[in-house]
Amino acid sequence: MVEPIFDYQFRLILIGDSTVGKSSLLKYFTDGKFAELSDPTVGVDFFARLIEMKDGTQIKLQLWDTAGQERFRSITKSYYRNSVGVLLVYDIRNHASFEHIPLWMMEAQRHIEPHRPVFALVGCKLDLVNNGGQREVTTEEARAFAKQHGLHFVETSARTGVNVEEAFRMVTQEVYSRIRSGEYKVEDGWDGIKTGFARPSTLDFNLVVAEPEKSSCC
Amino acid sequence: MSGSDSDSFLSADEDYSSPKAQIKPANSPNASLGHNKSVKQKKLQCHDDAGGIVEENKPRLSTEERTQDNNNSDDGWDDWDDDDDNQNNPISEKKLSAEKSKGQIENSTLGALDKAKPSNDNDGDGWDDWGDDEDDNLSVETSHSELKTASKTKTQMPSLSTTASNEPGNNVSSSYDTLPVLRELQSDSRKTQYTKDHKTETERRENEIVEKPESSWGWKNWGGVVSFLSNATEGVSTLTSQVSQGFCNVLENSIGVPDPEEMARIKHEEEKNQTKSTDNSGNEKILVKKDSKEDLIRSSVGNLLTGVTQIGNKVITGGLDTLEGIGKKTMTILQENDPLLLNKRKLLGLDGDKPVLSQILREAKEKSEETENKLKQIQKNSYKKQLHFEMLFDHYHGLVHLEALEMLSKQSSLKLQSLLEPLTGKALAEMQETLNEVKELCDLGELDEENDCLSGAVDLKEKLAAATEDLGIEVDFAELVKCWEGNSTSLAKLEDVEPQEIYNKALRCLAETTALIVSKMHKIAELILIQDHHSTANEADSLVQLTHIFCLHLRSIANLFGAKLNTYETTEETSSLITSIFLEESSSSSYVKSAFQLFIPILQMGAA
Repeated sequence: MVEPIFDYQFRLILIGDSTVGKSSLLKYFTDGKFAELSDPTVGVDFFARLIEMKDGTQIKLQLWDTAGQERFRSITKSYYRNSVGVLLVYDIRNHASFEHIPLWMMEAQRHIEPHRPVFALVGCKLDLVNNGGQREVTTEEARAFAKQHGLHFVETSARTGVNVEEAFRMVTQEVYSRIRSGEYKVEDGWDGIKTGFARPSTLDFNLVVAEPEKSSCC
Repeated sequence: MSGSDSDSFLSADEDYSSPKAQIKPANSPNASLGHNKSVKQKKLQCHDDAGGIVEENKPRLSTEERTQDNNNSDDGWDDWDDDDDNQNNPISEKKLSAEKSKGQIENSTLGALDKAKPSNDNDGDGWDDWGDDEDDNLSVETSHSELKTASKTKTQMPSLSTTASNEPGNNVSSSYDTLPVLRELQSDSRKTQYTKDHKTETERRENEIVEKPESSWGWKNWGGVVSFLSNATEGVSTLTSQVSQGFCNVLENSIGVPDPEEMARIKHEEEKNQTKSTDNSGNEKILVKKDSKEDLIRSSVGNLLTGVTQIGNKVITGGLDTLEGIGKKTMTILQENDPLLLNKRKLLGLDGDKPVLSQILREAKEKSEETENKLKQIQKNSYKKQLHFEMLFDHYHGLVHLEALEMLSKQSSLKLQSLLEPLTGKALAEMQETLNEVKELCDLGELDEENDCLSGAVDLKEKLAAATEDLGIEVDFAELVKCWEGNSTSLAKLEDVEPQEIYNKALRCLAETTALIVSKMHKIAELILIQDHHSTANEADSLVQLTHIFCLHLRSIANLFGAKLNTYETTEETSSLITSIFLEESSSSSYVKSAFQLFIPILQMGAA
């Protein structure tokens, strides 16, 4: 069970072509397991994990795993709006999935506006090319694209778990830094960033009020 | 130096009339240094050459002050000081003359003046001007003559001169106090100058005159202590010491209020001394008389002046001695049984060991922060321990599914709005009718409260399958059935557990089931939205049925756990727990119902 006490909740969304490995990536990140077989995602699925920043801040990541299938495209775009971070996922053995990345990115930007989310480019199935499989998207190519569009970039494997944690952590860290710098704020009507509902902020107020009353009687 | 002196002297007469010309600060350090030097030199000169030169120097000093530029930082100080000095200095000159005529050693007085004057810096000008205004004719002339006679007679009063030099402040105050007396003396001395014949009589009278103003001055408050002022002799010193001794005795005896008997005794002693001292002064005066007739008068005036000055100084020193005695005595009394005043310091809160206020505050703050953190931790833990339906519902992603469903519902509403906008007339009416029809189809009606529960997992499965038969969408309810199976079997196995644990299990089960239901509804909504062909009536019918089954299912769960708790002894705890279970069940149902309401625009979209 996810720790109910946290400081912030970030909503991250994973988008990309069907079968690139979004659900597997999330499953590994939240469960530490790799499923050999998995059903295609219907609409959207949800995952959650708590991660801790270097300064001890607890952040709950609410992860929206969207269906990559074309038929769900019309409804998945409804889910973009409340996201603060976007992971653009492609299959490094499938160049077409990489080619669609700019389209996914534009779609996300269009729906998330006026908010400006943190983007990350995540290449999946690294384990398969390391085992002699055919790589279609070179690291250099992907890195150049990421640099050009100001994206974080990492290549991962949900089977071995390589860089899975890093992929999510770098996005979270970036969002958190932007909160610290004041670029991002908790806003009413926007669920990209929320403060932890269990954080006893009203409690502090009560404490302050209660104590002087106690002392005044003696 | 001499050149500049003469220059300033030339212009002196012009400036002489204006007393404001006195203070003009020095331009540069060098200038002020030179200036001070010149003043000193002149003063020395003044003393050596006596009266006549003093007169000449007065304007010179003031003009030199004037010629200096205005950048002295001691501006205010000088201004302030001069007010005092205007009054003081004529007296000090007279004092000087008086002392000399009394026969004091010239060197000692000079020394006294030299020491006293530099401390006042450029004040010489101030008194010079003042003196010119008022007692030009008297003080200077008299001092001139008196100084001549001064060297002839010698008596020892070194203590007086030293006190005068060491404590210029005392000197100032004493001379200030005696000022009115001196004025009277001046007028008297004038008289004596014209009536030379009645030498001794006037002298006696003068003595009386001196006596009278003194007594009217309010010094009588001190009782006998002050009455000796008029008599002006050595007896004073013994008196003051006696008085201070008396004070010490008094202090020893009590808090400090003099005993009336003691006071009477002291007064008596003083009176004795007074008579003694008058005899002494008489003897002195006789000695003076032997000199010459002219000198006699002047010396008598000098005598009086010296006496007054001496008295002033004596009173001050005596007073100080007394004060010192009081202070010492007070300290010794305070320190009795309390070495180093440790207890009293503690009592007054003056102890140096006492921690600083800021430190105390800081410590207090730290302490409160610590307790606050502890309290937070405790509350966190208790929050974690205590199960909350909303939290569990969120944990099973029920909340986020509901939110996603809401998003889809909103999206559909917006689409419907955009569809309705271009429509007019008949088309719009038709469209609205269709939408209303769908809305009517989605009326849940009254959920029959009396309806018996689902008999089990199989019953649930069958009913759900029947409800979704006409939906046209394949929905997998396996998870829901599995959850139900798992919970019911584990509950049956539970034996000898706390009622609270049963409650917790019920809460988890309800939250998980509700979350699953909402997620299934969300999925159905998604699938309906991506459906190409719709039979809205069937969809609506299916969903109404499903919602009924879901609510029934939740009721069954609540009943199951409630029944389990009923097997326990009926206490306040168990009954309240049963109530809470049904309360949570109703809130779960309301989630499901609100989820169903979100379907309406989605179904309308399909119909449109």
